[in-house]
Amino acid sequence: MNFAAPPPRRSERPGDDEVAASVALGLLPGVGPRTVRRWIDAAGSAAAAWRGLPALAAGHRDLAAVLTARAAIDGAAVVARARAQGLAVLVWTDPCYPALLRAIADPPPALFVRGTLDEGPAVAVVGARAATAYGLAAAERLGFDLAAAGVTVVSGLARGIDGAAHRGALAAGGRTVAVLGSGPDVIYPREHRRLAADVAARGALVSEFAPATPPRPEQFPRRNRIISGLALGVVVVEGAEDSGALVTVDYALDQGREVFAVPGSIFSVMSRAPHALLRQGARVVETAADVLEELGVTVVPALSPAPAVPEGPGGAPEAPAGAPASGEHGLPRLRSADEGRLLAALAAGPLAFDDLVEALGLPASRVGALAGWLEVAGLIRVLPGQMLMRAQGGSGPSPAAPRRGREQTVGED
Amino acid sequence: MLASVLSATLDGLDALAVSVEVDVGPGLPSFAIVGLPDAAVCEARERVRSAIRNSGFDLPPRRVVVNLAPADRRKEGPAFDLPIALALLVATGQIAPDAVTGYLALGELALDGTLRPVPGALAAAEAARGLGARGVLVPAANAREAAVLEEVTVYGLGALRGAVEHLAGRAPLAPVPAARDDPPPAGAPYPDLADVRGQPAARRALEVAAAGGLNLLLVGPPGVGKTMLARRLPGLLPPLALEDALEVTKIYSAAGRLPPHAGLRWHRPFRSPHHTASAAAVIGGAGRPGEVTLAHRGILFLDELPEFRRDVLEALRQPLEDGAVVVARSHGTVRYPAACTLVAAMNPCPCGYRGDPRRPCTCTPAQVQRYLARLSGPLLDRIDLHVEVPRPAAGGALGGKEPEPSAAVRARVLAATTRAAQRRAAWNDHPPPRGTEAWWPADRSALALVRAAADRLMLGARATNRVLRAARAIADLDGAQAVTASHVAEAVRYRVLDRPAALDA
Repeated sequence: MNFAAPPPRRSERPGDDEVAASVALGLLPGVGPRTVRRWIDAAGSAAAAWRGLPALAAGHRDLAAVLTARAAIDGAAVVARARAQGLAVLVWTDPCYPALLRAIADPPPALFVRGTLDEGPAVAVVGARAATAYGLAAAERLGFDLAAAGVTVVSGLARGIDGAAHRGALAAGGRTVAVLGSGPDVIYPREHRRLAADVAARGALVSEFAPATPPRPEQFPRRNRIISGLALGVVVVEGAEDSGALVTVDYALDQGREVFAVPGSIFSVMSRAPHALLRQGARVVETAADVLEELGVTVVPALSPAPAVPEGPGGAPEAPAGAPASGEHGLPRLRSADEGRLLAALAAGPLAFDDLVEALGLPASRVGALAGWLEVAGLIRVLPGQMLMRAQGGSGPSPAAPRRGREQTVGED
Repeated sequence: MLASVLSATLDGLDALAVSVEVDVGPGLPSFAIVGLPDAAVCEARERVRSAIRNSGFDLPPRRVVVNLAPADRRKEGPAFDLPIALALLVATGQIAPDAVTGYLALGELALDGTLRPVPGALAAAEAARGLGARGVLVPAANAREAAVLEEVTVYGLGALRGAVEHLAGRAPLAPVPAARDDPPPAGAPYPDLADVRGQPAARRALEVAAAGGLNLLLVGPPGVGKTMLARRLPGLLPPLALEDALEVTKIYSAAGRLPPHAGLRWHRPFRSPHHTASAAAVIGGAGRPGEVTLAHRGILFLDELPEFRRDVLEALRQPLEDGAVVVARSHGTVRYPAACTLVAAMNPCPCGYRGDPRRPCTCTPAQVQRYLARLSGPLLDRIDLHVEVPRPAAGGALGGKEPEPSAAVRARVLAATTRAAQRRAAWNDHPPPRGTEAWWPADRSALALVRAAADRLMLGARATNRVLRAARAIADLDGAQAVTASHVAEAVRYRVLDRPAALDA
């Protein structure tokens, strides 16, 4: 492989010409990020590459199309529109461009960012959209614990595992980054709009696609290289045999990232992908500590986790005394120790309501009342199939920390 | 010569008295029926002619005119065969004119003169009671249903010959004894809840639905027993009051759905129309009560709810709210009672396996959304309890505790409905009481929890009202005077479909 060394970190941010040219190069049809990078290396800068495109692209298989497109593309206009929406545009030559991502073979020439990217350690948590209750609980827990340890949780904002990982990180009051397969202003799936806003406030939404690009199926595998590229390692929580998470793993291996997998039930098809990875030698993940240890990340518990139900990273569940007090949630109490018993029964993972009734030996009416109360209090969540799951962090739908303004950008001010 | 016999025709569920007038006079031999008869009434000509001849009477070749009065109302069905035949025999001098006076007659004639059952005998008996008739002559198979009204003398007839012998006083029949059988043992004839193992959540929801007369939606993968559960709900309900049983019997009589020789129908109906049913079949049309009316005071079970036609589901909203269907006809409107409890079942997604731990769901999120979107918000709002019925863990259907039989649950439901009645809230009232009546009294913590739930789980006003209704039923089951936070907490869980997150994680 022809790894060129990343350009030296210049103290200066690239000028508008350079940014516009990088964006424009990224928009050329039939020209991949590897080619763009080769051209920039050859020309010395993106602006020079854009100007000298006819010569650089001389050997391209569809030169005519490239040159026609070049005439039609107005990089500066795209950049202006993005900035008007409060998006930051990070180009490959920008010192603020994430260093890990810059080092992969095919980094995007330009990234559109809403929120803030930082240089802290990051781990990707990915998996199936049609996840089981177990997988969602695992992802949310890992997201929570990794974020609480000061690690940025990277994922794809998809339904299922991705969303759970983001939510876990947000509940811990930590950082999380979502890499989109559409334009940075196009949130897909739509029901994640609120989650996306929270992620942007507490981390970043990142996309290599220009604003207003609709989600197209072929864009999603491609964005997976950015997910793994931003992270030190990739944790696969659940996936079927042909899961998209395996695409991310392939990129991670090409990029020299660590690969982890969370084991699942042998009865579930959603365990096929992680189990296949474990068979090939991926690291088993039971707790966030397994990931942190392997990556050599020192735990920085400097964050203030959102009000807590009680469970430190990898720690044992707290005694039933951890059950909610009335002041904390402003809800009338049911005055019963059974709340604690119910939470304790869910400590090992989600349980179906019917199994919970069996496990607690209480009447269904009583368990129903307890579960209803805990759900309103935000201490448990109800998943399909009447699965009850403890909510990580125990806060309601929106994170405890104040949301920052939409205009928040990276280094643009 | 002129003759007239009293009969009746159905107008909605009630009977309209009809005077059958026959004139036999000179002219070319003919047989005409006037007075807005339908095809079945017109065909009475052929049946009556053959039945009279085959019963050993005589039909002279004269000009016969039959008039059904009032002449501006449409007459349907073959029930006029008997009164036409009797009037003809009077008009031809084969029965004394005063022998038929004061009798109301109806019945379909076979060609050999035997009588076949007809719909609406009970309504006709009711009309006869209103007119102060001397007696009601009905086919023997309808006699017991007509005799559930105790103030009317009913004669059950086997054949035309016997009717004439009775009227002539040659072989008088004994009136049919009143047919108000004792109520059947509680719970009969429904399957027992003891057959259902596990499923504590669904069993509890059935109990709450029974106690409050609440509409219930069961959501779960195929084969987990949703239909089995639904069929056991009527066995948990309080027994029908006499007044309601009479009403139900009248509906089934008018629909021609009572078995021959049936008396008072004591058990609560359980109707389960197929999802291909038309709006007319489910809601009812001009001439016929629909499934919602046949389910009056009982259960209307709609399996595969999203597969029902959209117009059917939308048309259901009004009867669910008002407890009655109003159909416009050429002469004013007809009102069919329809105070049924709706029980619906559906899969969580088109393939059926969403949330199933042992089988992957093959639906895309868009497919799931389209599937759920077939149920409109206003319809879901009218369903008080949404309950997921998940697949039990492997082996769960075999082991475990001995399931509780229906009788035990019914006893609690009965106690709860008695308490509700003392609060003067009728069970399964239609339209449901609005405002605070539905759930009052409630303590302050209950109201605080309702507000918190509405806020945090994003429940709308109608959903919140349903939560309170369910909480009221739960409190009644609990023997509590006031609704408390604990009752509300349980009720909150019955709004699964109001929270898209629950079905779409």
